[in-house]
Amino acid sequence: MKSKEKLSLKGYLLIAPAIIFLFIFTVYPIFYLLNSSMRDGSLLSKKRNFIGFQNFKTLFRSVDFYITLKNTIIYSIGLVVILMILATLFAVWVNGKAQKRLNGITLAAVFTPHIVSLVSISTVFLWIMDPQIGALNFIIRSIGLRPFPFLASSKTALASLVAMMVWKSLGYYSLLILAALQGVPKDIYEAAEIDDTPKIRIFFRITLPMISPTLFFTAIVSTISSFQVFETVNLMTQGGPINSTNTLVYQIYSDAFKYLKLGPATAEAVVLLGLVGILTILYFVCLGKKVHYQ
Amino acid sequence: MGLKKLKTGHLITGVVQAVLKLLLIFLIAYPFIWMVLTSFKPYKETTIYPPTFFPKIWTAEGYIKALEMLDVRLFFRNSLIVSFSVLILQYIVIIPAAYAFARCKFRGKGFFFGIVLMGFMIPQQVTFIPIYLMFSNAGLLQSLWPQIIPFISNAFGIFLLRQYFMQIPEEIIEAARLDDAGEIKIILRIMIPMARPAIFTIGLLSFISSWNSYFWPLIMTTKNTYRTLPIGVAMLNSQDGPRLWNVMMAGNMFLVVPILIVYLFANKQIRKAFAYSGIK
Amino acid sequence: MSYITLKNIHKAYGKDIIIPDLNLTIDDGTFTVLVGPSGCGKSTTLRMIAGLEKPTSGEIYIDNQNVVDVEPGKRGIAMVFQNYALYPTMSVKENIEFGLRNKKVPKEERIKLINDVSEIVGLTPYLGRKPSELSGGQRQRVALARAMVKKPKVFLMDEPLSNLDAKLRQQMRVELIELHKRLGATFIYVTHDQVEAMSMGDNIILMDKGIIMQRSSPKEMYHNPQNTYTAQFIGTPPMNIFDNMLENFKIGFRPEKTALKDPGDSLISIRGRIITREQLGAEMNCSVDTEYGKIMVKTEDDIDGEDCIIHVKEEHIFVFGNDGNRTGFASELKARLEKIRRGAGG
Repeated sequence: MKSKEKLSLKGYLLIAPAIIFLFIFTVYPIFYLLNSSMRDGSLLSKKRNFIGFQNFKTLFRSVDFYITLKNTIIYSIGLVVILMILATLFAVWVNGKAQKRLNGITLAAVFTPHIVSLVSISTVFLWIMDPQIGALNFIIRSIGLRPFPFLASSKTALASLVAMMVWKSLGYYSLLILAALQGVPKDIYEAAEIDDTPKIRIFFRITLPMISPTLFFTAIVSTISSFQVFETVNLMTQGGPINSTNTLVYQIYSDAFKYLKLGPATAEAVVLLGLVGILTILYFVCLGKKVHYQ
Repeated sequence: MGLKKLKTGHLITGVVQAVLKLLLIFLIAYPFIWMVLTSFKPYKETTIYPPTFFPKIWTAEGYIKALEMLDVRLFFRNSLIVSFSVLILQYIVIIPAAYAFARCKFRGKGFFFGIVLMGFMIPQQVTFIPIYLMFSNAGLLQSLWPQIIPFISNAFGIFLLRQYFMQIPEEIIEAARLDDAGEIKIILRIMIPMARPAIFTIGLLSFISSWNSYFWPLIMTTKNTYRTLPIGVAMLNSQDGPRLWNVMMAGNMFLVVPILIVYLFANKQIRKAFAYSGIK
Repeated sequence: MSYITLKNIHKAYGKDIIIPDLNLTIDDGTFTVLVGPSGCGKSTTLRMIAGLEKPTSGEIYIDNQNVVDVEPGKRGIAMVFQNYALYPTMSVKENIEFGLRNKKVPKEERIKLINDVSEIVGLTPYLGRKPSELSGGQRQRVALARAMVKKPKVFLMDEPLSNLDAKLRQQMRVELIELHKRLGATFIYVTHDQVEAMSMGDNIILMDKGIIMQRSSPKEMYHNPQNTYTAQFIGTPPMNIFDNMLENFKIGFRPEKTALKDPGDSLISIRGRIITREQLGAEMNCSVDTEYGKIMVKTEDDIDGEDCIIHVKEEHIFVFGNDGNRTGFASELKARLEKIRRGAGG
C-alpha cells in the first residue's frame, strides 16, 4: 500500500507546477469569464452588478454581431479546407524518392513563412496587395486585366486575408502531414502495386486512411488557430472595409480595450469559447469514426 | 518502341515537376526578397508605379529613420528577455510533467491530462481579459512578467514531449532503477538526452512563438518600456501620414533576420540531434 | 501456365554491385527456393521478378514476354511479403477483394472467389475483422488468400514464415506444399533458412553475393555439393572441411557421416579428444579436438572418456580444390589419405 502511495505522490509532484499554471491561466479564466459575462460595468468599475443573460441578449440582437460571426466562420472554414487540401497535396508531392534534394529545399522554403512574424508578413502583403502600387496588381495589369481590389473592397478583403494565411501556414501543416506520410510502411504500397492499383485509388484508399489520425489532429489545430487570427485584421484592415473582416477575436479586443465595454467583451469571449467547444465536439462526432488508429 | 515512350514520359514529368517546384520556391521567397530590397530603397522609389524590383538607388535611409523612430535596442532587449525566460522556465516545468504523464502511474492521470488538452485548445483571446485583470490587481502590469508567466505551462509542449517519452524503451529505465537512480536522475541522465531532438524542436518553436508574439504584448503593456519588437515594428505602420515603406521594411528586418538566423542554426542542431539519437 | 527466365541480369546501387551477371530459368509449375545468407541477392532477385525493383541491365521473361518495363500489377504475379503488408485500415474481406476490384471483376464473381479462397485457408469466420485483430498465423493466411484469389501464374514469397513461431512455421510449411500441389502454379520462395529450403523445394538455388553457387534438388545438394560453400551451407552442423590434411586440396565430410566406433572399412581415422558433448536423445553432437583442428561429430555411438578415434568411410569423403570447387577423388589421393589412417595407429 505504502509504495503505491509513494508512486502516486511522485507523479503528482512532477506535474504540479505545470498543472498549477494551467489552472491559473486556463481554467480559472474560463470561470471568471462565465461570471463576468453576466455582469455590467467596465474595466474601471469597482462593483459590477449581476444582470443575467442581458449581455448575451444584446449581443444576439445585434446585426453587427451576426456579421462578425459570419466573417469568423467563413474565414475559418475557408482557411481550414483550403489549407488541408493544399497541405496534403503538397506533402504527397514532395514525398517522392525521385527528386529528394529538390524536395528538401522546396519544403524548407515553403516552411519559412511559418517562422516569420505575422506582423512582418502583414506589412509586406499590405504593399503587395496594394491596389495602386502593389506587385500583384502590377502583374494583373500587365496581362491586361483590371486591377483587383484585394483588401480595399468588402467583397474581396476576407478572401485576401485567407490567401495570405494559406501562404504563411502551408509549410507548417505540410510538415506535419509529411511526417505522417513517412510513417506508412513501404511494403503496403508495394502490395498495392502488385494488386495493380491505379495511383488515385492508392491515394484515397490507402494513403489517406493511413494518415487519418494526423489529418484529424491537423484539422482541429488549424481550426482553433484560425479563430485566433488577430495581427492581420489589426494591422491591415481594422475590421473593414465596412465590417467585412471584423472577426470575433478582433471584436473582443475592440470592445475590451477601445470601448471599454467589459460585459459585452466577456460575453463575446464566452461565445468564442462556445464555438471552439462545439467545433471540437463536431469534429469528434463526425470525423472520429473515419479515423483509423493502428 | 513502347519502352522509349515510357522513359521519355517519365523524363518530361520529372522536368515539369522540377520547374514547378522552383517556381513555388520563388513565389514563397518573393515577399521576403521584396522586403529586403525595399528596405534599402529611398522613400520616393517605394511609391512609384510600376514598382521596381532592385533598388535604383541603394541607401540606408530607411534604417536610419527606423532607428530614429523606434527605440530598437529597448524593444530588442525586451524581446530577448521574454523569449529566453519563457524558454527556460518552460523547460523546467514541462519536462517533468511530460515525463510524469508518459511514465508514471497516479490516480486522476486522465483528468489532469484533460486539463493539459484544454490548455491546448483555448485561444489566447478567450483568456486575456481575466489574466489582464489578475496582473493588474497584482500590480505587475508595469513589468515583463505578464508576458512570461502565463506561457510557462505550454500544453502543446507537454503533449509532444509526452509522445516522445512514451517511445523510450522501458528496459532502459528499469536498468536505471536497478542502478538505484531517483526520478530526477532518470529524467536528467536518460530521458532528456534520448529526447534531444524533440526538446530542441519544442524549444525552437517556443522561442519563435514568443519572439513573434504580437497580441499578448499589445494587451499586457501600455508603456514602451515593456513592449517587445513586434509591437514596436507595428507602430511604424500606423504613423500619421503616408506609409513609409522603406522605413517599415527596415524595421521588419530587425524582426525577421534574428529569427532566421536562429532557425538556420537550430535546424543544423536538430538535424545533428536526430542523427545522434537515431539508434532505433 | 508459364516459365520464367532471367538473362544477364546485372543489379547495382551506385557503385555497389549486388548481382553481377545472373542467368536463370525456372520451369512452369515448380516450387523453386532461393536460399542464401543475408545480402546474397535472393530478395533482390525476387523483387526484380515482381517488378518492385528494376535491374540495372538485363532481361526478365515471364511466359516468353520481356517484362522488364511492365508494371508489377500487370505481370500476372502475386506476392506474399515477410511482414504480410496487409492493408491495416481494411477488413480481411476488403484486403482480399482489393486486387479484384482493381481488375474490375464483377461483384458476384468477387464474392464467390473470396468465399472459395477463405474456405481453403480457413478464414471464413474472420472476414469482417481488421488485421490488427488477428494473430500472426491468421495474418499470414490473409496474405496468402490475397495472393491466391488473383489466380496468378506465379506466386512469389519473400520469407513469409520468418515471423511465426517454430511450431506454426512447421505447420505452414506443410500447408504451403499442399497448396502448391493443389494450385499447380509456379512458386518462387525466398528464405535464409536452409532447413526450410531443403524441406520445401523441388529445386533449390543457393546464392552468395549475387552468384548462383549451386542449383539442384535437395537430395543432390546434400549428397553432391559442387563447392565448399554449398557443402557448408547445407546440413546442421555444417560439413567439416580441412585444407591441412592434403596439400592443395580441401577434404570434407559431414558430422553425421562419422563414427566413433570402428566400422572396419573406414578410409580415414583420426585421433582426438572430445571437448563438448550435446546429448540430443537419440544422437550426440560432439566437438572433438584433433591435430587438424576441431571436428564436429554427430553419431549414435556412445563412448566413455575423452579420447576417441573418428572414422570416416570413403563414400562419405568429399574432395575440393583450393578454389573451393569439387574435384574428382583420384586413387593417388586415396592412397595419401590412407596414410593418415595409418598415422593414427588405426
